[in-house]
Amino acid sequence: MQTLVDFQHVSYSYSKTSTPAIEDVSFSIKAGEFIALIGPSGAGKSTLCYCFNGCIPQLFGGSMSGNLHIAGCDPFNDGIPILAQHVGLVVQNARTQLFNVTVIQEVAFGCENLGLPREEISQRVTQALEIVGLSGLEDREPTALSGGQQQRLAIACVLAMNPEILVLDEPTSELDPLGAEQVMKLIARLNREFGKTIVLVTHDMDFVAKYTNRVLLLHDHRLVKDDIPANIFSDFDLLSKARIRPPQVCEVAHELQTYGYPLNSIPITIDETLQVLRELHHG
Amino acid sequence: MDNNVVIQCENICFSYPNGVQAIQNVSLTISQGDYIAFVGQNGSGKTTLVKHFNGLLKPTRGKVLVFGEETTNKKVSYLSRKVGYVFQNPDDMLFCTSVIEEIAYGPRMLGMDPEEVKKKVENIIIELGLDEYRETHPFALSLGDRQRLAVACALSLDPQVFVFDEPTTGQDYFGSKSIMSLIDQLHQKGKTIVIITHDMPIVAEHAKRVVVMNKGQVALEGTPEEVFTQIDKLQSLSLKAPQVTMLARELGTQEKTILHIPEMVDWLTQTYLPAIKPAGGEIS
Repeated sequence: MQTLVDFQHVSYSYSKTSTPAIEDVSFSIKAGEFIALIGPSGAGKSTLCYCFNGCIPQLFGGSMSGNLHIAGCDPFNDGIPILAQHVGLVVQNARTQLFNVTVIQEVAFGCENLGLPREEISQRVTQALEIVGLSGLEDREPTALSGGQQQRLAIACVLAMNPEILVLDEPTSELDPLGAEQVMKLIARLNREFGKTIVLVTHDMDFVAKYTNRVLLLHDHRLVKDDIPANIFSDFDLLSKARIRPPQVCEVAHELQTYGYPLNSIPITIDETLQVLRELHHG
Repeated sequence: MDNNVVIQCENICFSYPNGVQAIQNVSLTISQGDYIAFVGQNGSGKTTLVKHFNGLLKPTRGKVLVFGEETTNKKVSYLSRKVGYVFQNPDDMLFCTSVIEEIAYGPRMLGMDPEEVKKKVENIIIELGLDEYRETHPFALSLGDRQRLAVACALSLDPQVFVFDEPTTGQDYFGSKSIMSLIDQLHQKGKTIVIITHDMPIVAEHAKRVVVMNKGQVALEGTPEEVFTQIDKLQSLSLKAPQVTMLARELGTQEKTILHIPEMVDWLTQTYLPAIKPAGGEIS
């Protein structure tokens, strides 16, 4: 698979601050990956999100160093309108990015600013609303939608610009369990069916275990671990240092290991755990 | 009337001015020292219901009694001395220019003696670990500290009952652990606690009683054990029991409901799994 994103020794400090918000971060992402970006509050997760579409450094100022390539673009020099066609960023608390009077205008806004032909805008808007499950709500006021619908609307807005990468900053943290599950299923489908590369910031480790296939763990502004979820959730020293609580089943398995039960690896979902425990049960 | 009852809802209904009937015929008794979690989807009526507990809302039918007094003709300023309310978003209740002014605001408005206010604020600042921020502007604090400040403001009126609307939403593990241990401390001091949350492990680990709301009504009620046993019913309400509870159910612990990790490990090592042989060559 082709490398879509490449960060090499990237550091960034906001203006008027002495300490960097991210420091010497290096990683690359291949097309089609589903990545979780985790870490305690203040670790630099949201800052990293803004590096994907050029808002950092172009809009926020500050000082940035290192090498950075995003979908063939140079976020230092290529304009944000260019990057927006490759990276769709849904910011934390998505309702702050909604400002139009109707749902349809909201979704059309990005495409209109790209100067696309009328017919194409209409086609893209219809398709985006259909994918996120908001068809039929075209004339509703965005602020009158439920939290989960607003989150899916924000996703539709960036989808309409047809980016290959979606960066989502805590898309479920303000939602109820049903709304959160619907948003996660949508994101998983965008990855699987539509081939979108996903970067998901979340504090919900059950979602990380269930949906993603790679985890970047930020702590104190640095990337401290880049691995598959099973290896992240087996590193209990690191988890406690970075103040991350793994899914409950991982803690159970870890306890069993300390009791001396022979577990080759730590299961991270309920189904995996059931399988491991049943095998042990039957000896 | 039972002396231990702090809040009593008798067949209450509530409709918003736009006609939406948010609460339909709910009856509920909260006793002193309770630790109750209200759960359910958004729009199920949780926040609308708890806003009746300090008179922010008055029922359109039925009645709410707070320490035996009907709320209908009582002012929020009067009821807030009995029931403190901490909003979901601390920014909705912070507006002064320093931490100490913010905490002093409530008691000062209720006409408390200035010297006494000062003493109270000092005590609270120390108790909640906000000492180093006394002159800081509230909006310069981190979310976790703003949340603590919101609790401090509620504490300043020394209410018997505390209502917390989604106290851990948007917080990382450390932040939510710290706010929950603060709430636990209040409970240990004899305060009555009401929380709204979507986090089922928090319910299982902290609450003594759970009320599941659905479409403005109470759908389920009981101890965490009683409620989380009904996995199918919860699922029909789009709620999930904690992972360990579901795991235990799948493995066949019919006799009791497991809610916590240590309980789960005990059951696995003592009942479900074969004993570990010391000579087995595994980690001792």
